Amino acid sequence: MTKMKKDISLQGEIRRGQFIVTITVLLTCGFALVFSNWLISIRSANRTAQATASILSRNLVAPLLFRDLKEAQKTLSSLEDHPSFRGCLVLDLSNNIIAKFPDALPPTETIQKNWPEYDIQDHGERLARLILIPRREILAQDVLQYAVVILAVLLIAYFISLFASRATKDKIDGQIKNILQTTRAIRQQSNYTLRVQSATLHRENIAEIQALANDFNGMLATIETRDREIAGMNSGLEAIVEQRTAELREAQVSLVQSSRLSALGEMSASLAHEINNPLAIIDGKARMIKKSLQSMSACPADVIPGIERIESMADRIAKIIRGLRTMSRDGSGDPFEKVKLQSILNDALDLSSAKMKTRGIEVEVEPFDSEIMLDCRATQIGQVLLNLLNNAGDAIEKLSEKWVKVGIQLADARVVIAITDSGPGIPEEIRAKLMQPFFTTKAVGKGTGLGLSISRKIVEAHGGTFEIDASAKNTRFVIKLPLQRV
Amino acid sequence: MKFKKLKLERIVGYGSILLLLSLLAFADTSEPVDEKLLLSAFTFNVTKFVSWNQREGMKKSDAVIHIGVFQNPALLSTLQKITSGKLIDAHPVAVVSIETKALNPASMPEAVVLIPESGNLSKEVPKKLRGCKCLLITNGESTDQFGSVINFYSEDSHLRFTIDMEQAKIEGLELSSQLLKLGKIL
Ligand SMILES: Nc1ncnc2c1ncn2[C@@H]1O[C@H](COP(=O)(O)OP(=O)(O)OP(=O)(O)O)[C@@H](O)[C@H]1O
Ligand SMILES: [Mg+2]
Repeated sequence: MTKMKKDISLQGEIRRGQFIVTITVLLTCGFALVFSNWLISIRSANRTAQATASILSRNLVAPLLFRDLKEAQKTLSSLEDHPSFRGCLVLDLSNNIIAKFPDALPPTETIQKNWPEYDIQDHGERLARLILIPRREILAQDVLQYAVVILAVLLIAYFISLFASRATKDKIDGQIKNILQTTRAIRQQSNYTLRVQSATLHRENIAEIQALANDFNGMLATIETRDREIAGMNSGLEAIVEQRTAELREAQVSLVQSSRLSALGEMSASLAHEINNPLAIIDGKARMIKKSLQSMSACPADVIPGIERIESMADRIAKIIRGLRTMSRDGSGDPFEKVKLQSILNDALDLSSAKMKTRGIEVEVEPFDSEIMLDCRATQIGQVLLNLLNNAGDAIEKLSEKWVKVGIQLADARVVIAITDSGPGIPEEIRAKLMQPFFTTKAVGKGTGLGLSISRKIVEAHGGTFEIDASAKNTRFVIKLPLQRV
Repeated sequence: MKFKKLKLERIVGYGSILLLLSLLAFADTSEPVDEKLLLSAFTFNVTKFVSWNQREGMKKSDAVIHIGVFQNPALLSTLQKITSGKLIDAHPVAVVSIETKALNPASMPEAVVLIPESGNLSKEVPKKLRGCKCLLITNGESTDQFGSVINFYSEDSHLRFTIDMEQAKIEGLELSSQLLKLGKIL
């Protein structure tokens, strides 16, 4: 069985509704029109009948009174070609037909109840009855005319309703299409920032569709904010992970540092101990020899300076050993104390001087106020300076121009220590990475890549800053430390 | 739409007369009709088609139309029966008897004088009636001498009448065109 496919689109629905309304209205109007016209035509027919009958009656009185049926018949023939009546009958008081028109009217034709009937009177006395026979064709014609008019009106109205339904459909379609386009775009792009725009096609939007669009927009807004919240939570999580990773790395760095330092410290302690005893003997014996030689008169002139040089060298070794012990200590637990900056710097310079000398590097300390006192953990600051000196030395080892300059200045209760070497500066692309732990350009086993990161950490722990001076022509590291502990 | 609203009261009121009239007017000719009745009805009917209102002495609406019957008691009584209580254009109708002695043009009934069996009348009568200013109705073929306006005669067993227009003019009578259509104009 094949079912008629019902058009369930919006347009179909509107058209059906409009069709029903149109047909109902039109049929009602049509029937009202026909009925009123019918009433009017009946009324006018009545009037015509009355007028016709009154003329006929008046003319019939005399023939009837004088029993002249021929004359009566003649009078009736005035109805010929009458637009409303095709004939008439005259009945006597006992209902016998005494005259009729036309003559051909079959006598068997029964008198219809709805044929208009009148009394023929003479001076108030009823003489006979007059019955008019209406032309049915005319009524039928009228009905046909009405039918044609109604049909025409129906057609016009139907076309108008078609037009109206299209307009309504377009209006609703335009607005729904707007929503559909937005939903489709959202599905394709997963972009929840899109919104249904108010259709500008029509001056006024259909309230329900507008409400739908508004609700839909509201829903989109909710989704969007939720999306943003989730994204925010994600990035927050990432930041937390990053932070934790950094913390872990730092923990690892300080662990490595302390283990390295402690290993170094142990080694240098035993080394110092081993070296100190022979060194004490060398120093003591050199003093004794010098004393006994001084008491002798015949002593060659260049021996005493030679022995003095031995003494000073022994002193220097002892100093280096002391510095080594200090430098290799993990000073992070040391208390802050006021120390002369000059002594910290000298210790660092002493420790690096041998290396510098063998490499042919000239180290220059620009004159500065030797009385500058720094409230710090001296061991740590010394480590920072030594680190920078060593890095500089490593970097310029193979250059033709080899120098390192140390400059110290005071500015706003801060001491600014700048260590510059003859290198051409740090390329921008690795400048940021330099400070990261484990970043090194040195051969495996030679550098750990921890030096700069530890140094920065120490400086920052002292409330200072540790920067590469990118504006300088040469490689230049700048440390700013507060004079007073912050 | 009162096409056939019958007024019963009227039927009851005039029942007998209507029946009589209808019988008079439409009865089958084969049936014997009382000639006096027919003549009376026709006479009365003729009087209805004269515009009495124009005549002198009849301007008042209650002025009585007298129908005089000359030497015919049977006709007199029949006419009296038919006309009793009737009005012609609001004028009451009175039927009176006229004797030959009383024939006097000045005192003739203003309306009608019917002369039955006219042939039997003396030659005095026409002379006396001349200039009476009344509607003179006669019956029979040889009554021209009376100067009647209406003269009844029989044709194919139908009662017919002639109208003497000149005489009507002389008498100062105005007859309805309806009547003229029916009568044989002389
Ligand atoms: N003065 C400088 N000139 C040029 N490059 C430098 C300078 N100082 C440091 N660098 C670069 O920065 C890198 C990191 O230095 P850092 O002190 O952190 O580690 P390292 O010197 O390689 O190893 P470690 O200090 O443990 O021996 C070095 O490998 C080097 O490439
Ligand atoms: Mg280093």
